[in-house]
Amino acid sequence: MTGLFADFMVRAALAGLGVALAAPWLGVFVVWRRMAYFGDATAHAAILGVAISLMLQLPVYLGVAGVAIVMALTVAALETGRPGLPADSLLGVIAHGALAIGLIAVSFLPGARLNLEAYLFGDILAVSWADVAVIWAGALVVTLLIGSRWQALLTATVNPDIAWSSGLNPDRDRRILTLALALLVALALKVVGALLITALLVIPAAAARPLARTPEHMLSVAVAIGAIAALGGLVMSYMLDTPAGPSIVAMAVALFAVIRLVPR
Amino acid sequence: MTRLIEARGLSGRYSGAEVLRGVDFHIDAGEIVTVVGPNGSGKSTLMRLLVGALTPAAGLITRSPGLRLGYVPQKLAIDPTLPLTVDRFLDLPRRAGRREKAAMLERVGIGGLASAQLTALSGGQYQRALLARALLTRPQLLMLDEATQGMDQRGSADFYALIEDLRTETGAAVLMVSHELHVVMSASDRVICLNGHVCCQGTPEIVRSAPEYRALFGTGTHGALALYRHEHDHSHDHDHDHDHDRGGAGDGHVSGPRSGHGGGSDQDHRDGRVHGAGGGAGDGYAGGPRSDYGGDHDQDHRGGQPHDHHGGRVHGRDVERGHGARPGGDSDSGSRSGEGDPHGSSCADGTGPEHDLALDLDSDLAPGRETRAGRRPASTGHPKTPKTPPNPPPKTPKKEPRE
Repeated sequence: MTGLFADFMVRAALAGLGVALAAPWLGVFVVWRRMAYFGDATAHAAILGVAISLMLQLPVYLGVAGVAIVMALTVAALETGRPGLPADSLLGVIAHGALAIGLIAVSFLPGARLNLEAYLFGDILAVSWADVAVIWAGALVVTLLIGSRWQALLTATVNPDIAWSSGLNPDRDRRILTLALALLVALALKVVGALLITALLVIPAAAARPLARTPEHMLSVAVAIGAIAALGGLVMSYMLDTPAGPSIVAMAVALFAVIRLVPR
Repeated sequence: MTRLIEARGLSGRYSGAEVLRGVDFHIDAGEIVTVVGPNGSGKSTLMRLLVGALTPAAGLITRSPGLRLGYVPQKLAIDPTLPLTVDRFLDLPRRAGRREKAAMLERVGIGGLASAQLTALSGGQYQRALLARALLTRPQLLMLDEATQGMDQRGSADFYALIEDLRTETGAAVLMVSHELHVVMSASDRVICLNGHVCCQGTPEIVRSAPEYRALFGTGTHGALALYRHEHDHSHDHDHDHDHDRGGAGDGHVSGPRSGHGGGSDQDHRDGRVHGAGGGAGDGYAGGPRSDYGGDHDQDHRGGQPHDHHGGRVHGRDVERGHGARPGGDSDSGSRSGEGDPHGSSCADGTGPEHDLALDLDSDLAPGRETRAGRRPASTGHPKTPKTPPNPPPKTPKKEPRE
């Protein structure tokens, strides 16, 4: 097979779809709970995870997910326990600090250095069938994790005290979100790269907002937008020979703009 | 009587500061209990401890097994990015039947609003939607934290009447935090007066005449002082414009007495009150009412209180009824104020009550909720003060014959 339906394109499309279908489940909460910077911090730490994985010769998914979890938990702890610095400033420091330190760590690895761009911007056209399998399995886990706690997460998002009074534990549910976020970062690294993972979370959800009347409605529209962006971005990448990850994000931004600008 | 919740020796922290210490509390099935207290007195902390949102710093909370709580929070700021219809909101945390939801909305008086966005509701409709959600959990205990904020006097009176009816219909106990003392008290079986600890409690009649209560809520001030503190609280906790407006209004009225005192002469005093010249809000009460009681001043001062921007809110029909029912009326309480200090000290830690409250305000609020943000409205309230003079003149004559 050659052309648009070449094997590598099919694998890329499946990988992109897998991430695009899972990301909005988390993305809507990132938007509702204003966690975009939190997502950034976690995603940028992925580069550090790559460096550690390569150093210890671990699978990259494992190292990235591990570092992302540690990062997310650290950020969550700092956020609640450190008054005096606004959360967004603190997260800005951590997000970019993690990225810088990760880049330095990678620079110690001569082989990885050549591949740096792949980790920053993704390398979706190079995914293997094994990658596709890992992405779909991970996407399923993220979806199940969020889906099974959907009502509880939504209640806590509306008002944590209502959640407490209903016998729920918003603290535990927030940790579930954190865990799902770390997992998604590990999955999306190959697709759009560390720098653009948050875009995949935030943009489809933000684009869906004006069209939605209920949380579930917003989620389903976001999933659709994510899927269109993933496939559209790949086609655009193929046609115009543009980098695939940024093309997917650019497509999502275009959909966002169209939805916002079209008068209703 | 089934005991629903019992707390012993409860202490709680808010932003690191201990705002509640050694509180014993209980509520039984079917009771309506109201918690009153100045800003920073730990009312909301108590509520949040009871629902489990905060962990007690000390003490023990015992709930009856399987207790179902229906909680109506003080503030519920829905993020604008979250689309949420009333109908969908009622399905949190557990989905309810369509017919059941429709009936509940009808019952709380907002039938037909099921498909409206929650953020599009008016203040009163909004609180009723929150109430409907809480009721759908079939609570044994309904908890309302300042549930009538954003409602006018009439609206909140109606709201409390609804709560009373619902208690009768469902048998649910009701625990409320409120500042609208006169309205709420009449509906309560028991009132708990809180200021870091339980100052006094009992039936509304007993609490109303308790020196501790009078020390806390002032005497010439009636509900206005409590109302002010409540509003002050809002301006700390919310960023919304409308809250600032209300905070501004509250502060405008508060700063009045203070500048009057600063001026010293009677004339200044009156002007200060009426025009609500700017000044530090917290300070207004530190020096304010306390130095003022006695003699003609008192009369004027009380006349001045209703001059606050809320006008109808504080001194609407229902409150005036409350005044009438008040034993001894205002002059009685006014004269008691001076003597009230020694009593007050049991509640307010040795210093004069008003002074202590002001300290409480600062110590409790400064670290957690930005005091500066709260004071800002004092200046923004200033330009609005011209609104006040039209209100008082018709009211003052109305009140004076009663006194």
